[in-house]
Amino acid sequence: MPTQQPTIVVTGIGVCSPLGTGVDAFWRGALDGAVATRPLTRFDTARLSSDRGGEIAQTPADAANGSLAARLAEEAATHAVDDAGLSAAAVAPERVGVCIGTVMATRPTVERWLRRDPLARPDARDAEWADPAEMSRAPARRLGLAGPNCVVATGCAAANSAIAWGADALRAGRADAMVVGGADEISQAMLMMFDSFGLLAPDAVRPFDRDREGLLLGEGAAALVLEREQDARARGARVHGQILGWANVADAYHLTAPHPDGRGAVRAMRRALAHADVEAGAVDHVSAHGTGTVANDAVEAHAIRELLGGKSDEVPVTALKSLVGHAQGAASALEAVACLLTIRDGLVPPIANHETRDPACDIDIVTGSARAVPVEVALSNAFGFGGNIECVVFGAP
Amino acid sequence: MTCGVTGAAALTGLELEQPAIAELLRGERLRSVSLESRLLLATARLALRDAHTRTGGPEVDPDELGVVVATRHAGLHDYVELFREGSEAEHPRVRPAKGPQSGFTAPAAYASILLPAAGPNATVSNGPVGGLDALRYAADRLAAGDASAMLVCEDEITSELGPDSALNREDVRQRAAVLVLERESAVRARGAAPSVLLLRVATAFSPTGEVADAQARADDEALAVSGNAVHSAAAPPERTGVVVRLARAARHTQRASRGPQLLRASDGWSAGAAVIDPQPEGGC
Repeated sequence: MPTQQPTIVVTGIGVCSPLGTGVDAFWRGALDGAVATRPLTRFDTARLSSDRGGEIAQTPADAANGSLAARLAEEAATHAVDDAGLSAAAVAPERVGVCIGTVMATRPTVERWLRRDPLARPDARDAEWADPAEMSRAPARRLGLAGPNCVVATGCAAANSAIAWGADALRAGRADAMVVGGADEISQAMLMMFDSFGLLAPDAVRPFDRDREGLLLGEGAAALVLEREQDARARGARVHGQILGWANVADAYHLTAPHPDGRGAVRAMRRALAHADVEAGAVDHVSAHGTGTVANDAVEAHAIRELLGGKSDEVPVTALKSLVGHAQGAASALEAVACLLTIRDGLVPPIANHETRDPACDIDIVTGSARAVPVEVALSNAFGFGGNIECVVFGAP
Repeated sequence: MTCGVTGAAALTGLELEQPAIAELLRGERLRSVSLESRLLLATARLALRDAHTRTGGPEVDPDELGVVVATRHAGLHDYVELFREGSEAEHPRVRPAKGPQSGFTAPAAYASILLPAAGPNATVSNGPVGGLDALRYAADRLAAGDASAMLVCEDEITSELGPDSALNREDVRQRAAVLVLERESAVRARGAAPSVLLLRVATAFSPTGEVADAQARADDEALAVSGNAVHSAAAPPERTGVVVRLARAARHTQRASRGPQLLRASDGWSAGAAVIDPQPEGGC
């Protein structure tokens, strides 16, 4: 049972986001409500209904070779390992694993070949870059980490799944530290897909707003170093927070639409809290999936209200996607970092672009400016196409 | 807690055309659904049927049935087609049905919706070692009580744009394999026996490409559970998926039962091993 299991803590965090690279730039932007969605520059968007997205301004130096998403994963993992002070002397590299969550992994690399030559065939080197496993292998190679290594894809819930994967590995004793997180780059094919659904917002993402019109894609990466608390304390590591519980369920309803009653969402949140051995009444903050689409936000708000009951009037809810767009596989990794920093600082970042409250989204959303509130327990929601849902509960150190 | 395989099935893309197999998908609206998703769904139904025939189960609430799929290329054809369609058209309105097919997660998602299976649902990718990761994920979910049964799947297509084509690999075809994994105690409680017990799974990575070292570490960790009792003629590391090989083992346990065995998988970077124990009384 959870109380008998080792406590899992976060000892390192790293971020590459449209708000900036590095935790400080990211967090400053988030607290300021800075909107980082802007016209996309990497490919032609003239024929799409929106030309905007949360693009990384400063890409890693060698990103032109191979997969940008894998480079972003490397970068974020490197920052997180530095932040954790995770040297080979502290933890044997054979005991450090990597698990990165992703939606598209290295597939945008294929787009680059096809733009160059529509009949392109990869050579062996290209092909290695296009292997989705590169998302976790590239960071492990760069950092010399030789423990368990795997990529997990649960749609836009992928980074939360990677966090859960890492926590499972630590609890089972398969590793002494896990570098986990998520990464994705903006893909032209994904833009086309969301455009075909009529889900691209023309100008801005407005989660839970009455006049919300859809999402904008984003990109980036965030990584967390997880350890068993006992090990982390023994080596004197700084602890950012705890991973208290997690749960993965399938909505099992529709490939692109959530169950109208939020059945899967409620089940996942309840299971995550049960896994954490935390009552719903103890939740101080919810980091919503909050895409800004009509269907997601109404269903998610309904699910949060069902979970929290009357307390949903006073539990602050935010949605980072209003600032950086929907960073796909990176989304819940960025949101995980934001949850940990919210717990640290007692500040919930605001939802940007919000103008008119939607009566169908009857929850306590944070708008305008960051809200000061003590947070001991934060619940982070992540929902994916195909009905993948993974919720993670974070706790104070 | 020990898990056991109670049902297994493997199919190739060509077999999907056979009337008895096509019957498994009759009545479903799958016209625009990718081959890998249809293949996985049919194989999953066969595996569940196999488990029911052999062990009278699992009879589980859909909320307690999970799916985990290992794949490298699921959705890649659709991704490329979507991109080409959108790039060539005057107005790039790609077919909306095409989009959801283009992700890694589509086969697991279709399985969850159509079986139905509303328990844990994940897709993993780790070359030929992905099947071992899927097995371990399923065992973790069963151990945590998140599911009563897990469908552990490998679902692969050959892709002109994938690593296997470029590296001239011919051993990956359009095929799917599915295992029904349950807690051994639950199977015994209904008076049945798993066909194969899963004793331990371990994986490792070599950041320098010295995969023999990673394989040795994975072997050691896997063998720690059963030591010298493991049949010494362990299969060499293979690129053929472990789930495919386990599906074969599960269907031939009477002939193959020689005590615990080591199954390995590796490529140039990742390696893994599973210790399994075929159960003669659980064979078909």
